[in-house]
Amino acid sequence: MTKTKFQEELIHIQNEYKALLDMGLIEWEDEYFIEFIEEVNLFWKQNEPVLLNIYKYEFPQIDTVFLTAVTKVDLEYMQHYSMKITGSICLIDDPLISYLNLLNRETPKNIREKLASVAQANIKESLRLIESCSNDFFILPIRTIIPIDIVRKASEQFFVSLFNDISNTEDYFKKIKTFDDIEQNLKDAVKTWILFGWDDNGYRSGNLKERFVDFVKTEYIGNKNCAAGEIFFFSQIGYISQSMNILFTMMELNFVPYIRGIVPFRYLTTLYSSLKENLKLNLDAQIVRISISYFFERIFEYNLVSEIPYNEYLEKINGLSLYKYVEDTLSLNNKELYEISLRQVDLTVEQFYKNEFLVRLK
Amino acid sequence: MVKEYKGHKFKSGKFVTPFNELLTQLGKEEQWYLGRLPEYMWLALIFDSHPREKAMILIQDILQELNKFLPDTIMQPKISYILQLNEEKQQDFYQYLSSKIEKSVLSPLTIIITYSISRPFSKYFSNKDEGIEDKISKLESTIQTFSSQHSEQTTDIRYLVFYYIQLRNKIIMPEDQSELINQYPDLTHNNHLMPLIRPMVRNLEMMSTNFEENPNITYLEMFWERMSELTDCELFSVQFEIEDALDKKTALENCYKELKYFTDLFHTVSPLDHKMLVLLGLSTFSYKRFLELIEHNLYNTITGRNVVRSLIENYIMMKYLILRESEKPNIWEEYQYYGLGQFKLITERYEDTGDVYPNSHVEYKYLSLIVEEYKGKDFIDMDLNYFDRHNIKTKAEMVGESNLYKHLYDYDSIYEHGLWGAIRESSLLKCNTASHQFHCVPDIENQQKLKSVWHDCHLLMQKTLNILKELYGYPSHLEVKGK
Repeated sequence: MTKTKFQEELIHIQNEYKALLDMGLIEWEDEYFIEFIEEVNLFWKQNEPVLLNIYKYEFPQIDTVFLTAVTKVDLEYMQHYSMKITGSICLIDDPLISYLNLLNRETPKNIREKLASVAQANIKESLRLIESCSNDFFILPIRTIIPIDIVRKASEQFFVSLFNDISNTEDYFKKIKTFDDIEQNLKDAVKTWILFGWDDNGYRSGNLKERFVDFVKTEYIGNKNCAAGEIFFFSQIGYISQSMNILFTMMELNFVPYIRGIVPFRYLTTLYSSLKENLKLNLDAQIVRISISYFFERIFEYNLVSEIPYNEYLEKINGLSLYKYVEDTLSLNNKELYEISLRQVDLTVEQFYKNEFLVRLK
Repeated sequence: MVKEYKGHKFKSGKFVTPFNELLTQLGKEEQWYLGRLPEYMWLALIFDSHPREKAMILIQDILQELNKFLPDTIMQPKISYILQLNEEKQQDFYQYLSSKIEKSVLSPLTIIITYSISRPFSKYFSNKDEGIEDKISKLESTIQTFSSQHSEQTTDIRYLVFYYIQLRNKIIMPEDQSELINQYPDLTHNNHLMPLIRPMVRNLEMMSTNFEENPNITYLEMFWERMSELTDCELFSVQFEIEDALDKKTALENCYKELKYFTDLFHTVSPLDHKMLVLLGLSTFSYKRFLELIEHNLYNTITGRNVVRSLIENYIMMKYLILRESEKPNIWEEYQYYGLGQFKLITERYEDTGDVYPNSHVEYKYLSLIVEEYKGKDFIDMDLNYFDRHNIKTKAEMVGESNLYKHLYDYDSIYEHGLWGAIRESSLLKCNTASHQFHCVPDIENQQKLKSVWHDCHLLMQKTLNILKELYGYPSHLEVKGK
C-alpha cells in the first residue's frame, strides 16, 4: 500500500528517536546526560506540530489503541502480541520524557535511582520493540499533548471532591492530618473503589486503615514520617493525575487506551463515570473497549505465543478483531454504558479467547 | 516587432533582464540571510548582548583566539567550522568563550547545536533555567534583527567576519582603503565616513564566499529545518476595501433598462438583423456576467477578474466587428458560425469517444441542436485559428483599445490561466516569521480578498452599452444623470 507523506514522516521520526535512544544509552549518567535529556525534550517539541497532524489525519480514531499507564512495553510477556488483536493501529504511549525530566531536577537519591532504572529499562525495551516490529508499533509521547498544568489543576479538584466539606488542596492540608481525619471525611462511595498501590486488592486485603498502613510500610517511597494526610494525598494524586491525563487524551484524540493494570483501569473508569455528565463526555465506546482489552490481558497466556515469530503470528491472527467480536456478539454498538454488563463482556472475551484466538494458534 | 523594452532584450519570446544577461544569481548558501547569517548567529548573539563598542572589542578578542584553533585553510569564523574541530579543541575554545561571555548569551543556539551535534557546545552553553520557548524567541528575534544584509547591525557583523579574514592574512588591498576600513569599529554609524566604508565592508565580506570551496550545506539545512519546526507561522493578509454590495442594484437596474430598450428595438424593429443580434448577444453575455458579479458579490474575488476579462474581450470584439464590417459585410454571420464551428468540434469529439464524463456540465446533445439550428453541420467549418486570424491583442490595437489590453486584460488573463502571479496574489498568505524564511502558506480559510473589480466592470458595461447607443441612438430623457 502506498504510504502517505505523513506516514513516511512518522517513520522518519521513529528512526530519529531510535538513534537518539541509542546515543542516550551509551551516555547514561555520563557527563553529557543532562544534555541528552534536553535533546529528547527538544526532539519532541520540534515534532509536536507534525505529530498532532498525524494523530488527526492518519490514525483512524477509535481503531487506534495506545498502550499507556505502564513504565515500558513488556516484550518478555508478549505485550505486543496481545495488543495486535485489538486496534488496526497500535501505539505505545512513551513515558520516558517524564522520567528523564524528573531526573533532571533535584530529586531525592532513592527516587532518583528508581527512576533511572525505570528509564533505562524503558529505553532498552523501546529499542527492542522498534527493531523487532519495525513500523508496526510507534512509540510516541501521546499524553504530552495535554498541558501538565491543566492535568494538575483538574486532578487536585477531583481529589478534593473525594472528601466532604473540603474546598481545595490548601483546605485539605489544613483539615486532614491523621488517618482518622481521612476516614471520617472521605466519602463512603470513594472507600469502595480507592486503592493503595499495585499490591492492594481492595477489601480483600483488609479494612481501609490496614491497607493504608501496609502501603506506607511496603510501597510508599516518600517520607514515611510525614502526616497521614500528606501521604494519602501523594498516594492518590499520582493515580488520579495519570487517569485524568489519559481521559483528556481520549477526549482530544478519540483513541482507545490499552490498559492492563488494575489501578489505572479502576481509576480511569471511575473518573469517567464521575465526570461523564458534568463534562458531557461521549466516550462510552472507548470505555467499553478499554474493558474488553483489560479482560483479555488477564487471560492472555504469553507462553503460548512466545515461540512464534512475529510475522508468523500476524499471519495466524489475520482478520481477528477482539473488539469487533465482542461488540457484535453482545450488540454493544447501540447500547449505553449503564446497559452493558461487564460480566457479559468478560465472558464473551473468554469465549473469543477459546473459540477464536487459541484455535488460530494451532 | 518590439526588440527591446526598458533595457530588456527580446529573445525567443522572452524579455531578458540586463542582469540575467550578465550575471549569475547567488546560490542560496551564498546569500546573506539564507546562507551566511545562520553560520554567524553565534557572533550576532554575542553582539546583541552588549553595547556596540564593547561588543566590537569583545568579538575581536574572541576571533583572535579562534584564529589559533581553526586550520589555516579556513577563512571565515563560521560555526560549522568550529563544530568540525575535535571535542578537545572545542572544549578549550568554549572554555575560553565562557570566560568572556555569560552562558545565557549562546544558550539559544543549543536548540540548534544540540547534544547530538556537539556535546561540548551543549555542555558549556545549555541553560536549564531557560525554557525552549525562551530560546526560540531569542533566536527568532535575532534572525529578524540581522536579516537585512544592509542594516547597520548586519554590517557590523560583516565587518567582524572581514576582520577575521584579515587575521588570516589572505587579503591584500591598497593601504588607503585598508586604513579607512580599519577605522570602522571606532566610528559610529552616523559618522560621515560610514556611507563610504559600509559598502566596502559588505563587498569585501561577500567576496569571501568566493574563497570557500565547499560551503557546509548540512549545517544550513539543519538550522532552517529546526527553526521552522520550532516556530509558528505569523500570517498576514493584505487588506483591500471590501465593496459594499448594497448600492450596486441601481447600477444594475440602469444597465437592464438600457439593454431592454435595445432588446425591444430588436424584437419589434429588426428581429432578423444579424448585426443587431450579434451586438446584442455580446452585450447580453456581458450583462449576464455583470449581473453574476453583483448578485453573487464577486467584486473582491478571483472570479471577479474573469468577469473583467470577459467584458473587455466582448467589448473589443464588438468594436472589431463594427470596424471590419465595411470590408466584410457578412462578418456578422461569419462570427456566429465561427463560434458554432467551435461547438461542432466539441460535439464531434463527443461522437468519437462517447460519454467519457457521464455527469459533466456539457450538454452535448443540446449543443448539437444549437450547431445545426439553421444549417446542417456538414456545412459548418471548424476554424482553429483566432477569429478573423487576429488575436485579441491585435484586435485591441486595431480598435484603439491597446490600453485596455495592456493594463487590464493581460493581468486578468494571468488569473484566467491560473499562472503563479495570480496564485501568489489571491491564494497565498505571507508569513512574517523570519525563521520560516518569510515563506508563503496556502490561504484555505479564504482570508485574502482582492482589490475590487467593481469600478472596471461598471465602466466596461457602460462602454459596451455606449456602442449600442452610438449605433442605434438612445433617447436623452432616458439617460440616467450622474451614473
